Amino acid sequence: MRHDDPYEAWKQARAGAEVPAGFADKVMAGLRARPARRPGPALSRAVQIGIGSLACAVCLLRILQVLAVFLAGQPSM
Amino acid sequence: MSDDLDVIRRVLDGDMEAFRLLVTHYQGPLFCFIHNVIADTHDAEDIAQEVFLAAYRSLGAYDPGRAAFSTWLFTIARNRCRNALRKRRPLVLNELPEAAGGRAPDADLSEAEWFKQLDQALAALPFEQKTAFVLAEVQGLSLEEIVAIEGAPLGTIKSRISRAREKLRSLLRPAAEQP
Repeated sequence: MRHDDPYEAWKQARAGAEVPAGFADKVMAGLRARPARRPGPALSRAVQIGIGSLACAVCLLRILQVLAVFLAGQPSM
Repeated sequence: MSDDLDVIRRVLDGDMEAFRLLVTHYQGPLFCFIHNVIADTHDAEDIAQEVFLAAYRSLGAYDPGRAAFSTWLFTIARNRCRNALRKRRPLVLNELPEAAGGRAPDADLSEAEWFKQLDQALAALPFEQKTAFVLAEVQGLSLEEIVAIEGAPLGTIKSRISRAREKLRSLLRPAAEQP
């Protein structure tokens, strides 16, 4: 397996990429520069679906209200 | 894993400095991954920073029941790398460049020259093959972790890794066959 020697050595070299000095400090400075974007708990899937369903129901209700205005205004035969 | 969750809880409770623990713990493997995929130290550092900032902002959306924190981070990193490469180079090279810029593989090449050839070959791999190869062969992640990061079936992941490995090793084969 002579051909694997440079291959394995190369993989080891690629695995040894060093993190630039002060990297963590730069990340933390980036966070402090944008404190308004503090992480918060995400809405659960159920809550997201609930909000979406409620919005759809409100839209449907409004559409029905508009249709009812036209239907009520038509003369009966 | 439970340590990560404790730290994440602290961050979500408003302890921003606790996030530094996550950064220092994962900066090595994350930077290594990005550096190998992007092949530019400066860009890799920028992207790694973006990944941690994005992770901080989205930390509330992280679900420990679905994936390990490291898997979640690598997934963000992979997506960022894809976006960066799309911006940098609209055409993805699907074929390997000629070995050593057109030269035939040579048994007398120095290690540095071999490495240069392999670096070029890695950079020329299709994105999916490159990320799967780096995660498996360079980072040493398990196939299960790679499946979660790449979002592809196990068979597909195995195939991508195998193809990438074969392309890279094919650079070296002619030299090995020489007496």
